[in-house]
Amino acid sequence: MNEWMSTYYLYLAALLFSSGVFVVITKKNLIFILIGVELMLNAGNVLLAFFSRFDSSLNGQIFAIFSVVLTVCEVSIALAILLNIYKKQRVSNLEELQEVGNE
Amino acid sequence: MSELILILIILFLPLLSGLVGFISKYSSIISIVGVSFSFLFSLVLAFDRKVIRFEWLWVEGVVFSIHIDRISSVLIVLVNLISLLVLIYSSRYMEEDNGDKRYFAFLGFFIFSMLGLLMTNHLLLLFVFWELVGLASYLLIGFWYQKESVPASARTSFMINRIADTSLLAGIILLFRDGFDLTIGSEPILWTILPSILIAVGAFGKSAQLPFSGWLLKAMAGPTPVSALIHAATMVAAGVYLLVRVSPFLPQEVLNFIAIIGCLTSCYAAICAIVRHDIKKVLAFSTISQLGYMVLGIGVGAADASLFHLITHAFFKAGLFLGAASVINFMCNAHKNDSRDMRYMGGLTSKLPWTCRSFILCSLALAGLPLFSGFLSKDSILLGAWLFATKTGSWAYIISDLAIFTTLLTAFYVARMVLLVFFGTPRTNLTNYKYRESKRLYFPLVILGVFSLFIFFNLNPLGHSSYLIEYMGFPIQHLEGSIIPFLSILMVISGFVLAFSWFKPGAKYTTTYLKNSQPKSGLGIFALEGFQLGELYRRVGIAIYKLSLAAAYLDRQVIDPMLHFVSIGSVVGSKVLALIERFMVNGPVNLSASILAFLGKRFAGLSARDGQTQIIWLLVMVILILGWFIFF
Repeated sequence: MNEWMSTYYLYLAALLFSSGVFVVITKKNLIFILIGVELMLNAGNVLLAFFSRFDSSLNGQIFAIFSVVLTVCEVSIALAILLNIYKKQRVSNLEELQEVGNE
Repeated sequence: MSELILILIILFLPLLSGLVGFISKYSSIISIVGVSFSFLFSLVLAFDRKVIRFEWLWVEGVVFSIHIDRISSVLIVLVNLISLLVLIYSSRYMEEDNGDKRYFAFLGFFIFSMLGLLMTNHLLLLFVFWELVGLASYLLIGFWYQKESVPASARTSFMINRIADTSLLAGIILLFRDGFDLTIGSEPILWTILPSILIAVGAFGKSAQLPFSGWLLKAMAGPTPVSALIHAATMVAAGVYLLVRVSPFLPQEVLNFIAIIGCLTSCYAAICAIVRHDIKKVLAFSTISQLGYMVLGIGVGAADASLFHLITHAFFKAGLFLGAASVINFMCNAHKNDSRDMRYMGGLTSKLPWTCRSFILCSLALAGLPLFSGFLSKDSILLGAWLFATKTGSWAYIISDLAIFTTLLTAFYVARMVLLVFFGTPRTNLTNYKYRESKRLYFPLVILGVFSLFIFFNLNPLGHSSYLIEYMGFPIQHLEGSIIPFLSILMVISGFVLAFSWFKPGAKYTTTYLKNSQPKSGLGIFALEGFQLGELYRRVGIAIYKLSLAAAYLDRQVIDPMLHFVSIGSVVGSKVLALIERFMVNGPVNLSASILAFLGKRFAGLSARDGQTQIIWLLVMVILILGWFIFF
């Protein structure tokens, strides 16, 4: 693993984060926004895994695995909430959901 | 406390009786009873010999006071006595007049005001009564207001008085401003010149001194008993009384001024009295002349002599006027033409015996013959003037000599009046009217005539003072071996002799008096017109009127355009200011406000409407903060 390759990890993480941000900002569908959030989280996981190379005890990579597990739990709960909202209100759009909340 | 009640009774009884008389049928009797009780109480006051003083606070810093010392109490007795006699006389005199209720009410009001004037010793309160007295005088002069020219006379005399009163008020205000105590009778502090002169001029107005003398002649339009009471015995003496009271406060220069005015007035009025034909006008001029003597006495520092002359003069002059009233009443019925003109009289002794006797007694007192009261008092004034002259020297001798010479003139016109009215034969055909001198008419006359004798004032017929003066607390001067009494006796006798040689019954003047009575020489005409004093008043009045017209013209032509210019200018200026305001002041304010509103709107638009925008701004801020940490 060379010095020049380490920058590609950083580029990958930046790309993942930016695309996640882009999705969160632009998309109106709640599912898409959840996906964007997951993308940003994974960018963080990539960075944890990468920077643990400079740590002999590899705490970062262990933390990344923990984070993936936690993410699975979180996504399942979030999806469940979204499904429930959709069932009750017939809404999957962010703006419509805001209007529903304001009523 | 009982003294206060006594004073209030004396003060208000005449007014009350006058008012009650006004609404009841027996107005004259009620008035006489009221005033006689007031007279009795005032006698009690005088014999009590105490100084009575009541004070009360009017406003902060001004204490009004009633103060009755011996001078006041003697004068209160005098006013009450003369008023009583005049009221008794009037009750018969005014019997046929249908306004007699009004007459007695006015007289009651007058007596009340005069007593108030004598009782107070605070200048402001004195001024109030001073004005009330003036009002009473005005009402009584205009009593026969239906007659032609009477209201005008009343108005003229009132207005001339007002001018002098204004001067008095101005003097009082100046004194108050300068912080002087307005209570007269306290320990004397010399006043400054200007207020002293103003107050002296105010007193001149009431006492008919030059140049205010003319009003007293106009005042003769009133009923003659009123002239006796108000315009001879009491009210005109108010000015003298005021001067006596304030004379310790006056600086020497003002006293000299007072002496000069008094001397000139007495001489002037005596000259005028010589040529007059109207009996009341002659008496009026003689009153002015005698008041001049009193004022002269104050000026030369013989205030006690002035007071003495005031008292004696009140008796004999009231007697003369009441006698003249009888004469006029008789002539009015017997001749029906001009009842006051001496040219139509003559030889009235047999028709009016009692009137004649008392009139002659009073006349001799007026002339200042020894054995009569007038001699005593006039002599003491002349002595005072002589002492003043020897002390001051130079010009003061002229005053003294002029005063002594005036006694000759006085004797001359008095003798002329008596000879023309009572002696000789009637110059006109009188109807066979039988005049009945009722008791009520001659009782006051006789009393007043008897009081003109020396015996009531001083046991020494050649003395020059009185026990009354001693009672009032002035020091008695003993001047033996002075030449003045003999000089004045000489003057009086020569005046009598001169008058007798001209006006004795059967003389050329008396027989032709009715036809060629107009004086031929310039001085005579001048004196007949009262030294053109009336003309002077007319001229002054016209001048003031023209001055006010000119002021009005000036106002219209100069002040008004200026005001218009200023107002238009201010309107234009305010419009310009409004423009400046709108553009220069409001402009920047509005500009900054609109800029802020624009910015605010923009920033309000930026604020989050939904979650995604919030996130965008969150990221922008994070980037900015990171950039800050990285690049700075």
